Amino acid sequence: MTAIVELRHLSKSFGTTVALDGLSLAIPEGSVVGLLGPNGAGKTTLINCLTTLLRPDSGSATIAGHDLLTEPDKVRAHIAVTGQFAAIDETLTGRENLVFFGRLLRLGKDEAKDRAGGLLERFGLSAEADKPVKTYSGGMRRKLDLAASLVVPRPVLFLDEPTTGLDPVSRETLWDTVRDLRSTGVTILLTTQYLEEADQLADRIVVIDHGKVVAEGTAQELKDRVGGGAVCEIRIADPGVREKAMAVLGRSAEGEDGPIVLPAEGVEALAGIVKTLEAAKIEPDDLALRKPTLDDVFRSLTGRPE
Amino acid sequence: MIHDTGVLIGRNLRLSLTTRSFFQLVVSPLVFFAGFAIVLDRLLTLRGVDFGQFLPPAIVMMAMGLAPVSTAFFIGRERQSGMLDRCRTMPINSLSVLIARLGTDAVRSLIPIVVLVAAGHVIGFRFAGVPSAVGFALLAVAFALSFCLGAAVVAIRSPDPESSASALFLPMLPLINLSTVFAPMSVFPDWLEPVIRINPYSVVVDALRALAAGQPVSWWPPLAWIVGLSLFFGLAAVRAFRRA
Repeated sequence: MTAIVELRHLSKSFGTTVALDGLSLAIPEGSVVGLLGPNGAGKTTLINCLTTLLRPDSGSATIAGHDLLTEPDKVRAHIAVTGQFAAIDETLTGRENLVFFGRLLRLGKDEAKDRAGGLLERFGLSAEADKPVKTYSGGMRRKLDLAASLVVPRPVLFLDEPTTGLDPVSRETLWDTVRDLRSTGVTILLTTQYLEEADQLADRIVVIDHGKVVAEGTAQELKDRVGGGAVCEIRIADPGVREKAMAVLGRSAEGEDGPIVLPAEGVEALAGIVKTLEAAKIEPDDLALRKPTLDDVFRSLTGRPE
Repeated sequence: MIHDTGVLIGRNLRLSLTTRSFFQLVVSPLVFFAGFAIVLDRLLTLRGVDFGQFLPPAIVMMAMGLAPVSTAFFIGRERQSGMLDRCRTMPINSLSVLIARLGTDAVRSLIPIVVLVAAGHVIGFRFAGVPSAVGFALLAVAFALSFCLGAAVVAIRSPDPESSASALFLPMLPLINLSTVFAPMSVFPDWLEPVIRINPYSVVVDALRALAAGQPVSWWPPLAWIVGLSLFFGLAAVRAFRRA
C-alpha cells in the first residue's frame, strides 16, 4: 500500500516549547490510523500542521502527493477536518448548514441540496433537518459536523477527538459511521482520548509523546509489547509499599499512582511475580491476571495514563 | 474568490436575521434618535442651529461607530466555534472570509442609515438631491468599514472575543464627544479647536452635513482619514487572516 500522508522530520516550536520534534510518519492509503498521546504530546499541533492551519518550522510533508508547504491549496482540496468544536452555525438548520458548505465548496445549488439531503438521511438526521442546530443534542451536532466534512468527499479525513463528551450510544453510532467511511476507501487520521475507541476503529495506532513517535503498530502488536497473552495487575494503596513493590519488581515507568502492570504470560511468570512479592513481604491489596489493554501500552510508553 | 465571498455573505446575512440584530440596527438607533432629539432640540435651536439637518447625521455617526463592535463580535464567534479554522482548511481564498465580513457589515451599516434618514424626515431632514443622498450613504458606510477593519484585526488576534468587543466600544465615546457630531464648533474652547478639527468624527460628520444640504464638501480630510485607516488596518487584517 502506498502512503497517502507522509511526514518527514516535522518540527514545530512555540517559543521554547517544542511541540513537534522531528516527527516522521507514513499513513497508508485507505487505513484508519489512531493517534494517541497524553495531553501536550503534540497531537493537536500535528493535526493543525497537517490541516494547513499551522506552518511547521522545518521538515516536510505530503498529502495525496501534494506538498504541505508549497501547495497548501491543493492539500486543502484533498482533506476534510472535523474538529473538537462543532464548527456549525447554531441559528441555521442542519440542512442550511450542509447546503452552505456545499455551496462554499463550489457545488451548484441543486447539487448542494441533494448532497445535504442524502447526508442528513445517512446520519439519521432527516427528521430534525429543518430545525435550528441549537435544538440539537450533542450527539446530533457531532454527526452534523461530520456530515459537513463529507459534503464533498475527500480522500483524507482528520477526526480530532470526534466523540469527546458524547454518551455511549451516540459514540457507537459515530463509530459505525467511521467504519462505513473506511469501507469506502477514505483514509482517516483519528485522535482520541479513548483508548477503546482507537482499539475499535484503528488499523494502526501511533503513540506520540514529546513531539515524537514513541510506538507504532496494530493494537495487537502494541499490546504484545507489554505482555503477549496476559498481564498481571497489582494494586497497592499505600504509596510507600507501592514504591517498594515497584523496586523489587524492577518497574519504573508506571508513574505516581494506579496499578502496577507486568507481563505475565503463563503460570511461571505469574508465579515469579508472586514469589518476588512474598520474598519482599509485600501484601498487595489486589492482584489480577488479565488481557493487556491499550491503556497498559500507554502507561508503559509514556509513564502517564491517557 | 467572488463566489466564495458571495456564499459567505449570504450566510452572514442569514445569520443577521435575528432579534438581536433588529434591536441593534433598527431599534437602538431610533432610541438614540428620539433621546437626543428631546434633549438637544431646544438647546441647539436657541444657538441658531438648523436642528432637523443637524441631528440625523450625528446619530448616523453613532450607528457607524458601533458597527465595529458587531464585526468583532461575529469574528470572535466564528473563531470560538471553529468555523474560521474550518474555512481555513478548505480550498477557498483565505481573504474571502474577511471580505465577506466587511461586505456583510456594509449591508448592516446601511440599515440604520435608512432608518435614521426616514426618522429624520419627520423632523425636517432633507437631501439636496439623489446624488447627495447616495454620497451620504457611501461616505458613512466607508467610514464605518475603515473602523470595522481595525475591529477585525483586534478580534482575530484577541484570545477573548467578549473583551475585544467591549474594548472597541470605549474609544468611540471620547471621539464622539470631542467632535462636531453633537455640538457645533462654536461651543468648544479655542484651545480644543485643533483637536476637534482633526477628529475623524468631525471631518466625516461635517462632510455628511454638507452633502445632505448640497453645500460644497471638503473631501480631503474625510477621505484622508478613511483611506489612511483602511490601508493601515487593511494591511494588518490581511496579514492576520493569511497567517499559517
